[in-house]
Amino acid sequence: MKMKSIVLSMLLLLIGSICAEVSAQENIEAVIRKCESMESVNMTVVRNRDPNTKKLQQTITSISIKNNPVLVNEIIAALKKDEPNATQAIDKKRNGKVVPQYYSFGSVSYSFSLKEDGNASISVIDSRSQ
Amino acid sequence: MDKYKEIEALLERFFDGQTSNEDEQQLYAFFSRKDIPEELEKYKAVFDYFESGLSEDLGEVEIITEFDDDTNDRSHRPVKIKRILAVITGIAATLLVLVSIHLFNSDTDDFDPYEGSYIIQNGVRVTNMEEIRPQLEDVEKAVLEQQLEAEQILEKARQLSETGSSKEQEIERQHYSFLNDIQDETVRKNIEDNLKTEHNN
Repeated sequence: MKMKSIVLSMLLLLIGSICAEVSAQENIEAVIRKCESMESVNMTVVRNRDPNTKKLQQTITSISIKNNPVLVNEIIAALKKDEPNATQAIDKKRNGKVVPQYYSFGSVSYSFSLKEDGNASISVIDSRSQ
Repeated sequence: MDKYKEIEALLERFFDGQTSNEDEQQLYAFFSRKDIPEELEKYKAVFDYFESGLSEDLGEVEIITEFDDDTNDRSHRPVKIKRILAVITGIAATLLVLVSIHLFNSDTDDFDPYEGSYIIQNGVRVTNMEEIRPQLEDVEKAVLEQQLEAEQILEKARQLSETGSSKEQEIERQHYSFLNDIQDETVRKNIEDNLKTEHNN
């Protein structure tokens, strides 16, 4: 009975930790999903597999946004919302405005780049066990 | 004896696959007899097998037999059956070898670490690896460089933070060392309070 409780507690802890990791960057993940469904967005998805095990090791997603300031602002806002959950964060000051540059959430990290012409790109490195 | 020579000749033709239905019927009839000469006794088992055993063992033979019944050409044609079986076995073996070669090659040579990668350009999803491979490599390189740059910035920040805190610790240590030299307790207390206030500000 005691053993059963311990196993159940461990299972709940495991599920909790997984959920916590998923929800840590929920805002930016939602915007990324939105980008995936938008035709005006160019995207490259690189999947890297281990040559020995053939299992997926890492997924790199690079998204370029052109002539869409609304979407760029949405990405910045989402990153800022998730920033308190980031394990590492770098912000950059550009023309008096603080812009996210790099946020890491453990095994998932986001790099954001805003160009002078207003176009932007965001890349995601996802090393979670797939 | 002449009769037996005829049987021997038939046997020779039988094993060469050149016997007619009538010839075979003659052989079956001969070997179903009880008075078979000793030198031909060894063939009896063969004809017993084709007469009964083969049709029980193999469904294919049943089918052939039924087919022959329909065409009024009922016969047991062991040589033909053997040939059919040999052809089927050959085809099966060839297929097995081909499938094995294919599986072996797909396990080794066909592996692509970028499998499943794609790009979406102007709303069009492209998965042709030969076409997109250079772009995948460029993107991977650029993103990993961004990551490296970020890690370098974080490392610098960590070093600055460590240097800053060690300087603060050194100043604090010097303050307290200076305080220990003051003999008057009231004066020492006043200076200590002032230093704490200044430090907190």
